[in-house]
Amino acid sequence: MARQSLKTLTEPMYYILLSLITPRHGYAIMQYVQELTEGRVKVGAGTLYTLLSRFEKENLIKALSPVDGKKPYQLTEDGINLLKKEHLRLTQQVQDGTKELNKHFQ
Amino acid sequence: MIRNTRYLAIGSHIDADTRYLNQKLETMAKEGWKLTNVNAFLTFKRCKPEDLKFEIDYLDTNMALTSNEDPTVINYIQLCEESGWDYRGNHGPLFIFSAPKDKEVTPLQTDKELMHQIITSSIIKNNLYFLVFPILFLFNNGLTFDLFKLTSYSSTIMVIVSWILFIGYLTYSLLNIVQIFILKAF
Repeated sequence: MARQSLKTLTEPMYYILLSLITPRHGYAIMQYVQELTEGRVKVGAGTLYTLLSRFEKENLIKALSPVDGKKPYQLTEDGINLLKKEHLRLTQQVQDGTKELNKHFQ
Repeated sequence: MIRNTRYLAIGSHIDADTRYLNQKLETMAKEGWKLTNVNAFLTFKRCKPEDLKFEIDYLDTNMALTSNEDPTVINYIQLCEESGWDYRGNHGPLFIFSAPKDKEVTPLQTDKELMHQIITSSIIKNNLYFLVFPILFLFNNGLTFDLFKLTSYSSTIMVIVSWILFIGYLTYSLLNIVQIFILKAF
């Protein structure tokens, strides 16, 4: 079951989950998020470590066998569903925003 | 006589104190004091002055049950080091990292709200556990207020020591927990 505690995701949470569509270890996640957002979103090592433990507890991600002493993670079914749900919510927000802004400021 | 070693108490876990500790560590490195040991007291030895920045981070784990060789701790330190921070030591769940001042490194905690949650949870976990010992000790030796009923002089002393330990630990642990909630805003 997907967790109940985190109903919506913060921006770093969203990007961390997004980065785990393919397996990545901790530092690779940090680099990926920074590259993808062109430096706009930075996730600190302490923050990332806590979020990964939390996601793992909530069964949103799973740890894979270590490679070169590093533990990669990947999204679970629950994680994929939550990410899709969050993506839909954000798309909806952008669409609503575009509609209203265009109505009033064009 | 020139002193070659200095000590500094870690202090409390409130924001203001950890910020102060951060600054103090920076100043000491600049003045040529190298942090060599991390415990309830930090030990510094004379060295060449260095321009360093420090970060104090908390690991949300009960360190009384977790050794520094545990994969949780190893993975955490490894991740912090990969992101550019040098591990300097830890006292329980409080970890100290440093990096050259001019090096561009992402702060360890980039989410302030989450950071407060981590500190609170970590302090509660680590302090509640320590309360178990005095409580057990108290139940074993001193669950009586009636000292005159005790048969020997040594058991009276045990009872008094148990109560002192219990009250001391209780106060210390509760203060640690309460300060997180009361002084969070500062």
